[in-house]
Amino acid sequence: MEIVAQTVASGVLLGLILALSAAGLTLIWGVMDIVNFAHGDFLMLGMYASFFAWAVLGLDPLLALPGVVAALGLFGVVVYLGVIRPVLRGSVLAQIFATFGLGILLRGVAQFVFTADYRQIGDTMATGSFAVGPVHLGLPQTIAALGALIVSGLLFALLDRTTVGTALRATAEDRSAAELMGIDTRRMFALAWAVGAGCVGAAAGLLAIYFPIFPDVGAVFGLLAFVTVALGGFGSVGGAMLAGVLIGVVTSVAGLIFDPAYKFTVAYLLYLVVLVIRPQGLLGRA
Amino acid sequence: MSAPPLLDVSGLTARYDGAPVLHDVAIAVQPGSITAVIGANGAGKTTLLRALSGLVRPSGGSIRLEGIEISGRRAHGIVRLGVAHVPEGRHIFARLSVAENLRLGGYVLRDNASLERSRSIVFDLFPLLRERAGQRAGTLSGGEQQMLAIGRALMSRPRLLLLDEPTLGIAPLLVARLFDAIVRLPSLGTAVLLVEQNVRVALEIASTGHVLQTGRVVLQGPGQELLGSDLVRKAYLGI
Ligand SMILES: Nc1ncnc2c1ncn2[C@@H]1O[C@H](COP(=O)(O)OP(=O)(O)OP(=O)(O)O)[C@@H](O)[C@H]1O
Ligand SMILES: [Mg+2]
Repeated sequence: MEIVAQTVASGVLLGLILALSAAGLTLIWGVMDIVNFAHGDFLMLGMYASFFAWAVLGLDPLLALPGVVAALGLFGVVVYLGVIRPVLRGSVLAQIFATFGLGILLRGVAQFVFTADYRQIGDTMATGSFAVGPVHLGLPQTIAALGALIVSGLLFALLDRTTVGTALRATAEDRSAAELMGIDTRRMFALAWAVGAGCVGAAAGLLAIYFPIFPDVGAVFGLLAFVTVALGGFGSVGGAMLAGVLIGVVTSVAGLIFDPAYKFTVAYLLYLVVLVIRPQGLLGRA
Repeated sequence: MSAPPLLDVSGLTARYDGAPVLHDVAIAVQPGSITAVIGANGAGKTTLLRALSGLVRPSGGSIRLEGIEISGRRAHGIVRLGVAHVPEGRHIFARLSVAENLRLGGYVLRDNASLERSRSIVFDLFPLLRERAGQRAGTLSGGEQQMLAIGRALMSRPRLLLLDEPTLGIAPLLVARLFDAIVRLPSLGTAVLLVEQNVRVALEIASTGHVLQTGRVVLQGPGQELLGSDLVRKAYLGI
């Protein structure tokens, strides 16, 4: 019983970070119908940014977090202007290949520049663990999860409570009508990339507190983010949050029941089952 | 000579993928007036309004708003100059609340005081929108959605409102209420360019009417005069 509670708890902690990164992915999709296949590689870049902030500048990953978020947000805008906008007039296939190719490029450059070595940020502010009843939680994991929860809350507040957030949602729903309101929808596209990539940056900076960093680190997380987005319902930020936590728990519990090597397989299985029963995802619109 | 027109369109042409839809269209709208455009399905009425609001880029001609050329500008910039467009099919933001729809209608306004003024004008015109402020716009009835679409466009306090078939598919009772609201707009400082299927009412409330056929203005004149013309009586009123 205790081990189950322990497993669920650590699943929730990882799930919250997964949820945040998936929220960034689904936001971009929701606003402009583009899937960023380089999503996982954005995460990888964010983690390296945290690593070098620590290794070179001696900054604790928590202190570096705002900088990493800003850097990734800026990178998102650059990718939008340099890669996405030129292919917007092209076919859907061209758009897929553009972001897919970008991901491969980023990974290749990371291999070359950062080498394939595993890196780990050492002696951070958050170390040790604490107990809640029978459950032992790592402090780094808990702080990262809390951070993800806070950033997700900020994202919700932005989308739900501000005029610019309302304009983003309006652009997502009906681009022409948004233009007729005086909303510069190209700017909204750029903003969606800034905020979406910023969310990935936040997830990356938090994950980097305790997770090893290597050029392929985005592969698993990127794939999980896609599953999360589809499970939650394409374009639904709330759905991505829910699905992220769900997948965190499912993979964690699956690792306990089966061999840990199969835990992600179970997540994909869950995803397929949900898609068959409810193709639009948990909170998606039919 | 009368005062210069608010909107002065001349030689306007527009095409979709090379296929011409509007040919050499000329239309003028006087400040504070209601001007009607009537025409059969596919005549190019919607295309005309989309060209005026910047959703379609004209392939030629000129669109002047109080003498300023606006042809070729993007839609979000044209709203700021005082032209609001209620598109065919309403296009309200169904997933947003009524209040959020109205807030975005006033997106170009700079301060809360102007927003508040706009809201009170809109609520005065359509009291129902005040009651439904918190409701998801997609759950309104068709007629209520049309009120919201017009109210949303009025939030920016436009000098010119482009209305594309506001009564299409709306229950008769609500149609009357919509027309009541539309005739009040000039007194609020908003001139109206109205595209309507409901030819008789449209020409009755319009000071000037234009008949559009396959992308050309074939007849224009005072609304009452058009109502009496053979062309309108035969082709659009069926008498
Ligand atoms: N997006 C488009 N792409 C290609 N052709 C179009 C497009 N929109 C309209 N058309 C064509 O342009 C012509 C004029 O269409 P438009 O919608 O302006 O007519 P309308 O007078 O508004 O008709 P209705 O009364 O049915 O609303 C039609 O022949 C139509 O098929
Ligand atoms: Mg039309």
